[in-house]
Amino acid sequence: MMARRLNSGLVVAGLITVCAVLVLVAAYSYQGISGTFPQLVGWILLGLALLELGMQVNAVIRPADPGRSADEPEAVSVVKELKAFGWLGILLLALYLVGFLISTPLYVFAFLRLSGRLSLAMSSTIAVGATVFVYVVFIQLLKYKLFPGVLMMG
Amino acid sequence: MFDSIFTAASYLADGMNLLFLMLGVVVGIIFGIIPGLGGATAIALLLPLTFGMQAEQAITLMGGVMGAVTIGGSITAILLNTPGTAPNAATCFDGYPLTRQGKAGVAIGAAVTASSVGGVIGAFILILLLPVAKNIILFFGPPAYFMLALLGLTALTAASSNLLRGLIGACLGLFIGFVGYDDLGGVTRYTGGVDYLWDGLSIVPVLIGLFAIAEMLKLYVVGGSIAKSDDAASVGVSGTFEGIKAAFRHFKVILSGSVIGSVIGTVPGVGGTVASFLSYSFTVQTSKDKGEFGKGDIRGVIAPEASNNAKDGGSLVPTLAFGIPGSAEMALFLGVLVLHGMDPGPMLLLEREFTIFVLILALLAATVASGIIVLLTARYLIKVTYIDSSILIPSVIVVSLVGAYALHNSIGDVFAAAFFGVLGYLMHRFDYPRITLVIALVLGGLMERNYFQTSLMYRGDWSKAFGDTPFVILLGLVVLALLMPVISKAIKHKAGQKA
Repeated sequence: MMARRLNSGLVVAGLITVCAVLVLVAAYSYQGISGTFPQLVGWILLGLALLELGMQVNAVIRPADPGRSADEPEAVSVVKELKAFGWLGILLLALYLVGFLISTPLYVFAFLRLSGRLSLAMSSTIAVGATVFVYVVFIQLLKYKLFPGVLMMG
Repeated sequence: MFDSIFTAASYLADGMNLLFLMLGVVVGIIFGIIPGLGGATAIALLLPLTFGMQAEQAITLMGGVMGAVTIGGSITAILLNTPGTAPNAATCFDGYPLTRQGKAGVAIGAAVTASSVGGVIGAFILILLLPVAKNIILFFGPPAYFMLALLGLTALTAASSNLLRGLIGACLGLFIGFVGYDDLGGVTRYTGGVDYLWDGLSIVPVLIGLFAIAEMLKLYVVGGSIAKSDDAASVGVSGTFEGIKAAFRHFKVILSGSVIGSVIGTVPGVGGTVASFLSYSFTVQTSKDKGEFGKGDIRGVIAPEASNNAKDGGSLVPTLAFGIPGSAEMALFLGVLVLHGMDPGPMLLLEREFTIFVLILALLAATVASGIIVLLTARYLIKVTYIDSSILIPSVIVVSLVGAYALHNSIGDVFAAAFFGVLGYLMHRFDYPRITLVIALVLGGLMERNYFQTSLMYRGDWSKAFGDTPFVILLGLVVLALLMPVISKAIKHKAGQKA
C-alpha cells in the first residue's frame, strides 16, 4: 500500500537528504578553513532536507486528497521527458564525436524530421540555416575555434 | 557624476555600441513576446556573444534586452490574453477586453507609451538613489557584507513559491560554488577526482543550462505552438496613436505606476509581477469610476505597464549597489558582470561609475527604442508566437551549447551546460526554485570570504558582531525576510476569517 502511494516528491527529498549527508561527510575531510563554511552549510542543508523529507512522509501517510498528494507535481508524460533527455544525450554524443559543424545540421535535421514531423525541405532549410548562423556568428564574426570532435582530431 | 553621464551618453552614441543596443532591443522584444521565455533566457543565450566584447559593450547589449523585454511581453498579453512575461499578467485584465472590442491598437499604443515613460522615470529614480546607496556602502565591513549576501539569499528565497525548497536550492547553489580549488585554504573541494572541476564550475555553462536549455526541455515536454489561441489572426492593430494620447491623458496613472514600480523594484525578490498588480489595484482603488475596470478600461493597461518597466530601475539599486539581484534576470546580469571581471557588490559602484551609467542610459534608450519598434511592428511580431516549438528547440539548444563551449574552448563546459539543463528542468518539475540556486552560486564566494574574515576579526566569537550596527540591522532584515511567508499567511488567514 505504502509503496503504491510513494510520490515523486518523497523520492526527490530522499535523494537530497542522501546528497546532504555525502557533502557533509566530504566537508569534514577538508582541513582547516576550507572545511569550515561547507560544514556549516552542510548541516543547514541536512536539516532542511530532513524537514522536507518529513513533510513528504507526512503527505504520504496523511494525504490531503486520497488520489493525489498535496505536493505531487502536475502529471506530465515521463516518456516525453525521457525523449527530451534522450535528444539532448544524442546531441552531446554527436558533438563529442564529430564536433559542432557536423553535428549541428545533422541534429537539427533529425530533430525536425523525427520529432517535429516537418517536411524534408523545411527540415533541411532550418538545419542549414542553424549551421550557417553558428558558422557566421561564432567562427567568422567572433573568431572562436569550435570543437572538431574526437573522430576528426587525428 | 555628470561627467560620467555625458561620457556614457557619447559612448552609447558610437555606431558599434548603438548596434549592440539595438541587437539587445530586438532580441528582448522577441523573447518578451514569446510566452515562457522572457529576459532570463534571452540573457543566458546572449551571454556567450559577449565574451570578446568590452565590459561596457556587453552591458549595453544586456541593457537593451532588459529594457525591451517587458514591452514585448505586453503585446501577447493584450492580443492573446497570454502574458509574454509574468509582470505583464495584470495587463491582460483590461488589455484583452479592449482587443475583443476591436481596440487592440489603442491598448498597444497606451501600453507601449506607459511602459516607455515608466522606464524613463525608473531610470531617473535610479540615478537619484545611487549616490545615497554609495554613502551607505562606506559603513560596511566584512560582517555586514556577509549578512548582506545572506539577506540577498533569504529575501529571494522568501519570495519564491516554496520557502523550504528555496532554502534547499540556495544551499545546493553554495555547494556548487564550493567545487574547485579553494584560494583561502589551498585545497581542492568536491571535484571527485575530475580534472575539469579543478578550476570550479564556470558560471556561464551553469546559467545557460539552468535557463536556456531547461526552458527548451520544458517546451519539448509541453509541445505544440507557443501561443495556444488563434485570436491574433483576427486582430486588427490600428488606433495606436489614440492609445498614445490616452496614455498622456492619464499621466497621473503613469506617474503613480512608475513610483510603485521603482519602489517595489528595490526590494529583492518581490519583482515586477507584484509591482504591476499593486499598481493596477492602486489605480482601481483611487479611481472614482471603477465600473469599467476588467471590461476594457485603458487605465487598467497603463498602470501595470508603467510599473513593470519602472521596476527595472529600482531593481538595479540592490543589484549594483549591494550585489543582491532582485530577480532571475538580475542574477543573470550579475553573471555578465562577473564574466567581465567586475565583482558584484559594493565596490562596483565606487570603482565603475562610468560602466554603471552606460547601463542606465542603455536601459533608458532601450525602453524608448523598443516602444517605437513595437508600435510599428506589433501586427507582424505577434506571428512569432505561432512558430511550432519543435523548430525553436534544436536551434536554441545547439546555439546554447556552442556558447557554453566558446568561453574556455572546453568540451567539459558543454557537458556541464547539458547537466545543468536537465537539473534546471527537474527543479522546475518538482517545484524547486532555480533562482535561489543561481543567486547562491553568484553570492557564495562573497559570503565565504566575508565569513572567514569576520571569524578572523572576532577570533571565532561571532557574538562580537552584534556591536556592528549595519550587521545587526541586516540580521533583523534577514529574520524578517524568513518570517515574511508566515506573517503573510497569518494575515491572509485573518482576512479570510473576517470575510
